[in-house]
Amino acid sequence: MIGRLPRIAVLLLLATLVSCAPDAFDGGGRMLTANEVVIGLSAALTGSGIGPLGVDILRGAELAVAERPMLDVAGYSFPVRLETQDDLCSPEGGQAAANRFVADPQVAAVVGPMCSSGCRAAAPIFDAAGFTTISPSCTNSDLTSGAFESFNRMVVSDGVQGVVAADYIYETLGVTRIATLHDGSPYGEDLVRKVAARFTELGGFVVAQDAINVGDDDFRALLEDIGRESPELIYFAGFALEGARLSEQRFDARLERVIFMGADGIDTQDFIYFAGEAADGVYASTSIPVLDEAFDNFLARYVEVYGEAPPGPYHANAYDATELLLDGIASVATVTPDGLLQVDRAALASYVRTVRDRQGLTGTINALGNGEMLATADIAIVRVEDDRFRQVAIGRVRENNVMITQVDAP
Amino acid sequence: MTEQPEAIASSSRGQPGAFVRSWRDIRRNPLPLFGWLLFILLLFAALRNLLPLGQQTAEYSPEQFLRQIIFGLAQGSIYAMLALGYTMVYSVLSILHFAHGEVFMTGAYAGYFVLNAAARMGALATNPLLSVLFTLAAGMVASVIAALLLERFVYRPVRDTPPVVSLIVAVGASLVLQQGFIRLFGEAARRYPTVNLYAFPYLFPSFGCDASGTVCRGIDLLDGRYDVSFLGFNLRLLPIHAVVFAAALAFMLALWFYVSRTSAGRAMRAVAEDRSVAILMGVDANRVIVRVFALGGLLAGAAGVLYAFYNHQVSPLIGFSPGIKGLTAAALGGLGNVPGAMLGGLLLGIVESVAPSLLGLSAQLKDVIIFGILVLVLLFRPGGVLGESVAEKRG
Amino acid sequence: MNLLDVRDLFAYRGTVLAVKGVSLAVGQGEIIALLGGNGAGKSTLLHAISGLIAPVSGQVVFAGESLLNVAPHQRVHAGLVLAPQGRRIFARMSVYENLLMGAHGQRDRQLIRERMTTVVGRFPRLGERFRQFAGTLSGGEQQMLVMARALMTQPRLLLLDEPSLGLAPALTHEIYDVIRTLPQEGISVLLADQNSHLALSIAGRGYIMRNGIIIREGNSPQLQRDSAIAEAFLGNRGRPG
Ligand SMILES: Nc1ncnc2c1ncn2[C@@H]1O[C@H](COP(=O)(O)OP(=O)(O)O)[C@@H](O)[C@H]1O
Ligand SMILES: [Mg+2]
Repeated sequence: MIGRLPRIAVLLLLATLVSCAPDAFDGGGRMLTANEVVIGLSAALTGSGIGPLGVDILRGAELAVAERPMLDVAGYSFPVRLETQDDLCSPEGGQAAANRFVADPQVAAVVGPMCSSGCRAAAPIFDAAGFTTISPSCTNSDLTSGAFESFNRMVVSDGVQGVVAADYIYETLGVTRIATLHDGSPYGEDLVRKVAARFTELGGFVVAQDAINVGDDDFRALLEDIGRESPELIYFAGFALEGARLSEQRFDARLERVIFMGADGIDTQDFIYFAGEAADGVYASTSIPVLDEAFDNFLARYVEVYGEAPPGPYHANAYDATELLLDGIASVATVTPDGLLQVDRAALASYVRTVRDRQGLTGTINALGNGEMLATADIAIVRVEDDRFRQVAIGRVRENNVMITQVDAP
Repeated sequence: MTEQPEAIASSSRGQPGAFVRSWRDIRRNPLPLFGWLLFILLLFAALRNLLPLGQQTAEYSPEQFLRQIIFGLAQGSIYAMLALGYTMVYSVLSILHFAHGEVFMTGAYAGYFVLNAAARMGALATNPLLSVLFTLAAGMVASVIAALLLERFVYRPVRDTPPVVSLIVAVGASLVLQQGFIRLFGEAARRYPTVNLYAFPYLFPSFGCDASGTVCRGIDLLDGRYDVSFLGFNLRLLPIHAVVFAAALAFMLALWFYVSRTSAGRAMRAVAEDRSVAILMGVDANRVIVRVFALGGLLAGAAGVLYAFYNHQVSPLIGFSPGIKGLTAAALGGLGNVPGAMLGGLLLGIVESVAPSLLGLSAQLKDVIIFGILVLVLLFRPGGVLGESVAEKRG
Repeated sequence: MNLLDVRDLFAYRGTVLAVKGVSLAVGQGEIIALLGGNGAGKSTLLHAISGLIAPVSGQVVFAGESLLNVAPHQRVHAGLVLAPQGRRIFARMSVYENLLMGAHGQRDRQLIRERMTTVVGRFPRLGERFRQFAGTLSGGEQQMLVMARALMTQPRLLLLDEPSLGLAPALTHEIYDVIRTLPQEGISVLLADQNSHLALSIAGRGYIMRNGIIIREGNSPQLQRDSAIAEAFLGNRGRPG
């Protein structure tokens, strides 16, 4: 036994190292030549609590492609196709998906990855290959700090989401003591930091801060620990499975009166299913499309095609991202003498980074030049009532001012 | 040539198959055990006082400590049930039954299908006791089947190869089971239906009463929470904690009785100590090994279902963490040692629950703490907390 | 008819072909000595007979039945038992439990009790240590326990592998005195030992093994006479006894 354990440790270590080793790839051609328009889509399509988010993204992109099955360039018409990779909402998954896309000579640009951890891991690979990506859902605020050329996002940064959430907690709910938890992901960590900073700035107290591991099952002792600081609200930045456990185990740790609030990571039906009765009254913040006729039509089509309401919040973001990429390709592409599509990757990248005042489902798209495409979108605060997340308020951030408007119950 | 009784006696110590002896050892001399517990607690306290850890300001009260210990005991009972399986398999085969976590998961899953069917048919509402018993039975049967298949097709073919071979094969089998479940049933987690099973109306006459307060059904065994004042401590007690703990204790005692008092158990210990000689005495070693796997599966299945009643979610991935913890618990208690496995499991659960608060560390680090303790114990006491300090094996 | 007939047996020990065409016979009520120095192949032969090692070829016939398709643990129930070399007791069981292991599979408690009484009658020392862990016994007591445990199976043929190895002369004699009486109880014995004088003093016939083959066989007086030569030949000095 004694002699054996270290060997196990070494084996496990080796296995981990092997699985972490990045595939080397030395940038592809900067000029794409293809006979069709292929948009890569990188999202987590499987996995409890995260799969529905990815499926929702895929559907948004599919609807965009369904509207434009052919792309016209200089009198030629090229079929448009989505090429999907499951990125598992993890750094390794994002990396693997990115490696497959940059190695594929057909892929023009990519929608995705889905999670901030994956975006962060994939961005250097896309950078090296000169790719353009638009993530519909990577909200970590650091991603646009200038390090990545390839990274763009059609979603509001957590800076905005966190600010709205903190304002809602402090101003509308009147809560002054919160505890924050995150799941160790870049998304969770960053969001919690944003919420805590804003909340403190407003005059509230963050009385406890901790983190959990994805996949852990028993958070009761942790909740008990948090409880002794008597927070009025627990803010959790992570995904549905852990969120559901936390929300449910609150009751075992005598924290049933403490409000539970998450973010877009738990804004799924999955969360409600897993948390059972403990989902009741749980809040979440989530970025939402502009509520107008175009969006209503889109939603109607979505329900018609897929037979259900969207299982996640990012369908419109994915739709806008795909649309924008297709427009970009149409505008920068040329046709070779033998009738092939040719796209200058650099031109496409610069097209995406200079878009201005474009009206999308998610709001007015204005590229800031650093990868942010949506600086001014709305954030909704939703709350579980009768087994559904329902909007209770909408927050708008303009510069450093937050405007929160209550939504009346329908 | 003269005899050397001492030398001979001491050279036969520290073999696997320590099922019973260590228990008697503790009874005779519980000091080392208490010493260890004390040492660990002191270490916590010292670290906590020495290092300005964490930013919590509120007092960590004995009440909180007690509450966390109760949580730890519940989770630890699950680990203990798994550890019993690891320990038995190790003692007869000297292998780490790495796929045991997946056996556990199989039970939880099988239980889910039965319980879910019962919920759909309405049987859960009309006859909760029967539904729960069927769920448990299904989980146990499924786990036994999984364990037996593993024994027959994974462990038996590599039985007499070097340990590292069986370890690799076991890790492989564990992945195959996990991936197999993902392919079959999807990766998505499922929620165990909520079960309201009322029990002991006479023991708890004021619990579970209907609106009029005239009919009282007792406590809600699996889903109830009750606030109780006890010695000045305000506790929220969950009957499921008691259920899980009682189940672990009952299984451990039954197993201990089986191993130390029955002829089949004696045969098991014989195979554990010296398989060839056991065979020479007429023991069908294969059958004993099959029985060990079946027993381990039985416990893992029960643990799986109870775990799911407690934590509500099942997925093909739930076996990993409890599996590793169970193995750790078995190692802490001394592989091959039945009471040790139980104690190791409970200790692990408690440490996991209490340590982050005591040390003022993040809950994220609880696994780090646990494996740190495992490493320390293995360094200073290779035979486990309850094991002998000499751990040489007969070649 | 012989109780045990071994014909032209070949068996490996690990990667070593340690038994190379051995034939021998044990008759009802006989004590047969199997002599030979260290590494001669005695243990391998006994393991092959008891089934712990599967022979590569050859026949093992016990009481008229071939044992080739009989699982090793079933051979015990047929009346063939090996008391292995090297005091392989169950150290973590009490003496009592060790003896019970010899009666494994026997459901009749009365019968077990009777056998226990008989066996303990033969080895009174064990009776004094009944509840003690076997691991705490002295070397001689452990050797006795190995024999006693084997006798608990009520064998028709007892294969004894080096019962005197490493024991003081007094204990050796004590053990040999027991072996001597076994045929009267209907138990035949195949006794492997390096101490040829001692073994031949109680055996009617014997075989001398070397390098996996039988190099000499005969009745005891014959072999006694040869033993000086044999010992020189085998390089085995024997031990005082
Ligand atoms: N465990 C083992 N593995 C491989 N070879 C062995 C082993 N034990 C003994 N041998 C070899 O097998 C042969 C026969 O050994 P053995 O049957 O033990 O002889 P004996 O009992 O007469 O001393 C010897 O050559 C010895 O070196
Ligand atoms: Mg020998």
